[in-house]
Amino acid sequence: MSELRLQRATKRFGNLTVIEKLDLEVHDREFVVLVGPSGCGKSTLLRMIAGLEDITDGDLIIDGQRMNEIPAARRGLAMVFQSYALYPHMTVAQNMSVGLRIAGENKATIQNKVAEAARILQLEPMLDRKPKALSGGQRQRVAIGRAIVRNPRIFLFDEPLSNLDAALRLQMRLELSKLHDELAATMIYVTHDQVEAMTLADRIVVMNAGRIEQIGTPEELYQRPANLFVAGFIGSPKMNLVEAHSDGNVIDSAIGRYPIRVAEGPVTLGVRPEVIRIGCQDCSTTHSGHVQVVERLGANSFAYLDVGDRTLLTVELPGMTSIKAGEDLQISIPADKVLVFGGNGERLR
Amino acid sequence: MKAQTMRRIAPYLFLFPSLLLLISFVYAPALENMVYSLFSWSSVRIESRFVGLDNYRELFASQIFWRALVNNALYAVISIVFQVFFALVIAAVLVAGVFGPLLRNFFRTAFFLPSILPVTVVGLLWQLIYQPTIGLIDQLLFATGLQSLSHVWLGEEATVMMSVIMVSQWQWTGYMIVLFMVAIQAIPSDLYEALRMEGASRIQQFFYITVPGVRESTLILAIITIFGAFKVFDIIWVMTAGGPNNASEVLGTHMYRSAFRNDVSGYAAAVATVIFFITLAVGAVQIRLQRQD
Repeated sequence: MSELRLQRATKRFGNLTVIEKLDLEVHDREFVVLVGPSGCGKSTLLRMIAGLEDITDGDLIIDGQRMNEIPAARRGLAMVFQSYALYPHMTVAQNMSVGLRIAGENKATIQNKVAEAARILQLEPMLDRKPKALSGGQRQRVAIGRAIVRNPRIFLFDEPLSNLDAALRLQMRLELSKLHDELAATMIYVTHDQVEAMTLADRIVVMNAGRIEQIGTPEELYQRPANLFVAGFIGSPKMNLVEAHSDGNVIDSAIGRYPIRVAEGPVTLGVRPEVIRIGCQDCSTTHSGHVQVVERLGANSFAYLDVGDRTLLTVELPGMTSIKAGEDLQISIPADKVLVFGGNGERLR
Repeated sequence: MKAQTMRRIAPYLFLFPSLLLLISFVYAPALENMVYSLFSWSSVRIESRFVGLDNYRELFASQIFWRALVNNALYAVISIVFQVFFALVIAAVLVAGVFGPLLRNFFRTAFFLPSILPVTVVGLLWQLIYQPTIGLIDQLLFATGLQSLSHVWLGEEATVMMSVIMVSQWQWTGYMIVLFMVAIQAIPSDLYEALRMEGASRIQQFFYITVPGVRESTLILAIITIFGAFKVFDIIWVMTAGGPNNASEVLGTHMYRSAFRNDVSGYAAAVATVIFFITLAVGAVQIRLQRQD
């Protein structure tokens, strides 16, 4: 059992409040991803959990025990750093075993644990190498190996893939996912990359300016974002957000009129690029747009449409589309796929 | 073609002026000095007489030379202890955030200040501090009832060398502390955080991260310290001029006295050659150790 609970956790640096009265529960064996833009406080929150930053106010409870005053080493956590934090003068085996040596474990135990972690991470041929002789991905695996040998209650990852190139990041993402299944461990993972969050997480915690905007499964966050911030942050490419006005019965916007009943006043419509259709088949409304740019990615393409009123709409198209920049297109958006956000940014529908 | 040739020779053109100066004022005189050491000659006469290795035989038979060499070695060992080991430990304590920023800056400045004082000022200041009876040290010993420990610090053969060496440590340890602080601050902080999470104490962090992390700086500073110890002249000359009874003689003062007081320039050149080879050997060790990295 490894559960973690933060209750009204607050972090202040002098007069600056970085985290404010934050509540969060992480369940046993859960993979929770903290995601948000740079400076939103997600790394600070992880460091508070790790014991590398004091908690100014509130409680951190792990497996029922309050941990605020417990030193980092005695919380039973292991952390993988963004920079890997490998000791450059030590070999891979020494890097992985340093915690066990400090704890005074006997040689045989150390050897067994290092060998087991090396097997899991396919590091066996590299145990005698120093970090400078390893690639970025191998270094990252050593950092993970160092965490594994400690057999921690909870693994903490602080943007562990951000120093890797795109191909390696994808590979490491898969390996981390497999590792989570294999170890059946509780993991808390910080990233600013929403693709990592969507692909790895059981639940995602979207943070902004030291607060939690929404907690949910990747599907919940994608389909039912709680507010404009989450709607804009989750999904790649971003959700189309279009300024509109509701008269109480109908919403009027640059992308058409929708018979959606929400309170009168300014609203924002949210439309995912993949729900927009070209032409009109079984649709509630049609609208025309002028294609400005087309990006062809192979399996799909993205067209950027000027629909007037200074509104640029991203439309996802299947395959390598033949549509070209400069063309005019008819588009339609099913009304049931349109999300509506109120003037305060909260989702109304 | 012309541009290509220019590109090829341009680096040499940039290097040439400094190389010319080095050859003229360092390498050629060093070589010339070795030649001089094979002659018996005086700085006030034109004639010189080739004596082969006689100057070296005389040098190695001289008790003063061996005493000076031992003093230099003692100087080097104590300087390594203070200016490398203690300086590293103090720098690590200051960087580790044991003190607040205000106190840390105070200590750093206080330790560093002596290094910007001229050696003559330092020498005269410490001559006053070491004064028998009225000097600060004896005053403190008397005030605390420890007058039995009182000495004529610069006047007794047993205490003079250590007294002068300690002045040097007072002057230069702070300088080394600042250099070590810079080196320690360059170590990524997440290495310390990672080790903290592994349960390492501050002392373990020092040995697992700080010491290996500043290995290169330590090596270079140790070598510079040893160079300085074998070339030392000014502080000794200002404070004791090698006395009493050659008890604080070092190779530098022995060479100077031979050349400019006793006018045995060939012998002095032999001393200079010995200093040159000692520092050359230390330099070779440094290069070898750095290659091992």
